[in-house]
Amino acid sequence: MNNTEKIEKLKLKISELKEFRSKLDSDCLDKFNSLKKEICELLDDNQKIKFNTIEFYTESVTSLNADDDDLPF
Amino acid sequence: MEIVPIDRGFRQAETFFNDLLFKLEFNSILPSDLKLLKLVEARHQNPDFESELAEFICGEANNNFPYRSSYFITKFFKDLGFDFSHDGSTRRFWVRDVLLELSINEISLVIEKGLFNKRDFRKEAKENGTDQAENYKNAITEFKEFFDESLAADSSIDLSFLLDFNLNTELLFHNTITTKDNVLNQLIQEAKDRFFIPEDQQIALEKLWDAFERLKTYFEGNKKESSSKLVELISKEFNSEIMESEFKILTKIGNDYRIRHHETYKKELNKKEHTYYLFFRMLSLIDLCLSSIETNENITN
Repeated sequence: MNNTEKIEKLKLKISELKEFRSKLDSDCLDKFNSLKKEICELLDDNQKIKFNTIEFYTESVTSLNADDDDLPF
Repeated sequence: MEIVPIDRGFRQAETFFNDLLFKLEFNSILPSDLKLLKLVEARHQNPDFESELAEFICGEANNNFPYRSSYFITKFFKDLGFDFSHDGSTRRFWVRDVLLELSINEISLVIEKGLFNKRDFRKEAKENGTDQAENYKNAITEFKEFFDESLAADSSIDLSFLLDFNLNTELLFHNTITTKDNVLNQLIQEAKDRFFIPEDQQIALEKLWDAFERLKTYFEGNKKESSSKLVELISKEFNSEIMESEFKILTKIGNDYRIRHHETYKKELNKKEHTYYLFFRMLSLIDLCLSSIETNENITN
């Protein structure tokens, strides 16, 4: 892949990544992670390390029983 | 499981990609731009670049930079025109996260106008009764080491490659180009500098061919007359036919392949081995021309 192709491909992937900024949720997490993998294929080893250290989201476990009166406390 | 996007992460990614595009689209010989290119290179080569820079900004106990408390960390960024306020978390991690969001132009500003702001060194020296000039000098040395190590962080493969070619290494490292033609000098130096950046090797090759074309007009008269004089000069005690054919072959390669011209029908150099081969073949010829010119000018002067 020459430089021009790489630039075009990167720009496309960046705009796809930006779309997740407001809409990232558990439903589209797999799609987001495959996009990250596709981006990594365009990066060299050090760039991959740098890119992979970026935290894009946090995960929290939501309890389905939050309002359960039968809890023993 | 609930997924919550982190806005800061997306901002850091934007910065990361802007740097990457800056590097890929780079096409300038301005010293200020080359400085930024080198900075981007260090930033990308060293995965801990921002962490280490953050330690300098905080003035951690083991370095030569002025200590900055939470208040002064905020002031540091505000003075540079940034709207960040330290949130009370661990200073170096907070600063690292801020740096990850800054563009390469802003990182350059942070280093030049913030990190090496003499006012802060003066204040620290006064408070601790130390020598300001000495502290400043040590900080510069420490920063240079950090910068060089950042650039070398990924150099083991490239270095081993270069070390296999001693002649090439000599050509790249040891010849200072000081002809009377400054444009020529700059073109050769830029080609050499860029050759170290893997993504820039095609541009390095183009610059070297530009230098070759410039070199052909080094002497007075038209291009043909000047080239003939150059061939005559480098052929002393050797064979002018061979040198002339070398000039012609390299000129033809430059014209046939996408080196001097970029029409769609020009042939591409797809293998890096061929790029290396042509780069060093041309660099050797230019080196021979330059040393012959230098010898000739020393004799005539």
